[in-house]
Amino acid sequence: MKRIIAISIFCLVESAFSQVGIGKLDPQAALDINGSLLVQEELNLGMLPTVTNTDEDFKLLTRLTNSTPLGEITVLDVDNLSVAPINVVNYKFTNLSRDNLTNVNLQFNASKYIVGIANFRYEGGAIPKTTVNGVTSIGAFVVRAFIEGGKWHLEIRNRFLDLPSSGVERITYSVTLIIYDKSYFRNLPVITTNLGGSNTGTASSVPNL
Amino acid sequence: MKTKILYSIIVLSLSPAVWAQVGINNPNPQATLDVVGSTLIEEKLYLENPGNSSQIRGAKLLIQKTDEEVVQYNIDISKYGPINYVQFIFRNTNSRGLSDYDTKISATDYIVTVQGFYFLITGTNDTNVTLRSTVNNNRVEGFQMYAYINPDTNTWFLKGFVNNSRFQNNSTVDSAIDLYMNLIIFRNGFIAKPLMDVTVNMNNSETGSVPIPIGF
Repeated sequence: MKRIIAISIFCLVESAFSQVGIGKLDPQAALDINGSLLVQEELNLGMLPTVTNTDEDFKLLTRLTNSTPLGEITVLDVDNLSVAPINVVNYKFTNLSRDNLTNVNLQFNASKYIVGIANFRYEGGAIPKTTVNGVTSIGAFVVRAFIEGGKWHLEIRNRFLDLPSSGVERITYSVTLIIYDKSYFRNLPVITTNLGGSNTGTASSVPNL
Repeated sequence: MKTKILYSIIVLSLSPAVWAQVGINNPNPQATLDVVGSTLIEEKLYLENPGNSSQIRGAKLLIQKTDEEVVQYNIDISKYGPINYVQFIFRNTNSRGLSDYDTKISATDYIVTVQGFYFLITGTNDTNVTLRSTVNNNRVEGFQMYAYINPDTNTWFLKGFVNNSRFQNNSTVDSAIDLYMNLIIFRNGFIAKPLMDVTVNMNNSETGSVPIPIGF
């Protein structure tokens, strides 16, 4: 009986290697659908080819969870998205108060994004060392992004020392912020380890990746 | 649309079973529709209930090539990953540091970022490297370790130095270093994109808010 079906389809398309067209009189593949295809359950691809080492400019496929019908397969075209999975922005901070960017609200929502820092540049004058109780200090320079009030913030400064409030020793900071969308990147819980005064240690927990 | 319906009717009437299974080039279909050969969908594909992938290993991403063929992404074979890590090691770098270096990486295709660095006395594992300002010894100078686009070559360049400073050994003698720079390179237009530069005038304030890029 099944053989009959196969033969019937052969007859329908009048081809040696059967090609079936749906809405199409001259199919270009074993199955050529001149329209859209809705698969209600699984889609298995038996011989899915692999990217080659000369392919470029390919696009990631994504499945929409809010389309009608549900599950439309689309290409991820970051050029036409306002927010890509990874967004790279160069920031330059001018006209600083001394050397201190103590707390700048970058306004990226921490529930949606992870912010990383790269390409740090300190341009301009130098912070003078300070002698306290006969000990000369170079202070402690900090560059960090942190979450406060649900938003990402930035701190860049020498916490202990300061530039003079006036004079020629003006500086600017430049950083590249990498803003990762949490739809694609996971922010793992903080791992805290008490080293008990030692300078070596072993992780107190390991992320389950 | 009429044609579509007509075919459906034919296929249904051909099928012997109550639960129809259709094979194309396949007398023994293993699914509701089993196509031996390629399938061409001229418009959209919807997967209503494909199931979820619960693990990152043993699975490959799907990509569509520029000729519209859907293939699997194998990062070991592909010319590039979405995110690529590379360490640059600059041996016997001048005591002034690295003032310019052409990576020859296309600024059109990639975004290059310096995400870490360290340095040793050249040719050794000696970490006793100090920095001394050439202006005077009372200054704490700033670091600049970064990647930037050279508009003349449209390639990414690297710089790695400390303002007005020399790298010195533990005898305070100017010393060449081995400079290690850790780069993350994003493929532009795949999952990463550059946004417009932002300049923030802090108006002599230590705190404030920065306008967020459009769409965030």
